[in-house]
Amino acid sequence: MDKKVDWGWRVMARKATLPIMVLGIWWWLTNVRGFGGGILPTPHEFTAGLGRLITTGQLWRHISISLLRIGQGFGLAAGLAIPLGILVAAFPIFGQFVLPSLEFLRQIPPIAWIPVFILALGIGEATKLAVIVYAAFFPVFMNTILGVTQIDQHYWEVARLLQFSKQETLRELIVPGAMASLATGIRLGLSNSWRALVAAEMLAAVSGLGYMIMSARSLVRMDEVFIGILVIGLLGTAFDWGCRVLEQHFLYWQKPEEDI
Amino acid sequence: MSSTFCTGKSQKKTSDASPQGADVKVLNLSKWFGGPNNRLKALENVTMEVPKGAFFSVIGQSGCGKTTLLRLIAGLETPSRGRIEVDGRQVEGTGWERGLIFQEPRLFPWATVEHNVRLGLPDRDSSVWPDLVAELLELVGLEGFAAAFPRKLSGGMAQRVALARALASTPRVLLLDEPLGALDAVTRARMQKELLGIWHKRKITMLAVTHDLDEAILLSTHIVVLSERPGTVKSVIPIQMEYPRDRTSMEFNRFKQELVKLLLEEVS
Ligand SMILES: Nc1ncnc2c1ncn2[C@@H]1O[C@H](COP(=O)(O)OP(=O)(O)O)[C@@H](O)[C@H]1O
Ligand SMILES: [Mg+2]
Repeated sequence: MDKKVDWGWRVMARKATLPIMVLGIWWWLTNVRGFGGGILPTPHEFTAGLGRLITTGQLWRHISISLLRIGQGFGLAAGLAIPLGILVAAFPIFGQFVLPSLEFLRQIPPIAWIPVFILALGIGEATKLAVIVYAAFFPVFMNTILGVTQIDQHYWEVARLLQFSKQETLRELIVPGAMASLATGIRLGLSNSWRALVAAEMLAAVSGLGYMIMSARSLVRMDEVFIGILVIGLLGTAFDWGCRVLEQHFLYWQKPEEDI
Repeated sequence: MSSTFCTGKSQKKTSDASPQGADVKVLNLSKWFGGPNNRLKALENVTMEVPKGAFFSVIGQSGCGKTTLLRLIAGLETPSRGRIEVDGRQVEGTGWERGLIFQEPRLFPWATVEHNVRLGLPDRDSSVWPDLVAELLELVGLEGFAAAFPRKLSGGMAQRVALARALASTPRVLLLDEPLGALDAVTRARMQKELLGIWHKRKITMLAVTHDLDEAILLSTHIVVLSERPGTVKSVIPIQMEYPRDRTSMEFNRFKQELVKLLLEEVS
């Protein structure tokens, strides 16, 4: 597991170096060199655009729609992938039936399915949901299987000695034993589905952050394009960070130094 | 881990009950591993009887099948030939009346000491479980560690939690597979004393594997010497000495010499 965030000023300064340099180059290119040519907005245009998107409520509307889709889609994907992963890990015969096909499907990026989804499901929410589920399913599924199969055989014997029922085996052994791997799967699945969703919104949506970028592009509002990119990156980072916090919370027992 | 989902089965009552006093009866027990072309014989025709309340220690060279013997009695392995009876019933799968302590503590690292011990109770959801767990932790001298996680415990403490967990079901027979093997000398001596105390207090039948002759003589009423692989019972030596035993006494050393001789014979 990752170490705790180091808030020391030296470390923070190092982490901030590159973003500050990028901001400086941006300012220098657009303000001093007059570069931009319709591609790069100036910092002033950028902040003005941001202010407008916020005050009109547009930004928040697109963000909340994208978040809602991720919430629903990811919840659905995890709800499918975790039980199925446990089943496959616990009953290898079942795995022999489904694993080769799933391994094949895993190789196809969800975006490639968008034309099919649109034809089959229309341009409504179902298509976006399908893309998210597809993108989130495999990392969660694979890491669930990995987590369960990696539980030490020693503990399964303890479960037999202590006469665990099926529910107890699940609650006391499988879920906590696979938790570390499960957390990794959830983190990967979330980031996978977030990226896929934005792509889906660019191709088949009339709302959401991906759509916001596409419509800004067709109106040549490059400030809004960049705002969209920034927000997508920030939210993706926030998800990842949230996952790590949750991970630390659920894997408290792994903490080496922390006092109990 | 295909079959690991199912837990142990209960025992079947056999028609011929074992004679009065025998708690564990091992009859012509053989165990081999692997398929027909790479067969490995671990145990061959082992027969022995452990009377109720006895403390049996099993010694023998490493690889002679000591662990396999305990795992068979615990119900984690099934015999290839022969059978095992505990309290007159044929062993089939694991059961509450047989507790097993492995060489490693095998505590669930994600559960507190208290929860680990609680899982050893047959009725873990009974309203009195906190009292029962507290009592067990007191028995092994870990009252203050109920809320600790296993990784905070030393090897000796962790093995004591494992002992408490195994005692939670008040087993008739406690099987111990070199449980003190990984401990330092001082901790080990203290745990030997505690084991004796628990044995006296709870009147459990003990069957322990050890490679430490001193430990075997110090604790046991009988010592079973197994031959090289495939393990067979070479001899059963009763240790008729008062408890607590003195390692430096003449008697103690006579037993030790006898055992050394038996084990060395085997090597040549
Ligand atoms: N599950 C198993 N599969 C194959 N061989 C095994 C298995 N368990 C034990 N053995 C073999 O059986 C023999 C006896 O093992 P064990 O009972 O662990 O010996 P001991 O505890 O006396 O050192 C060893 O040669 C060991 O390699
Ligand atoms: Mg062994």
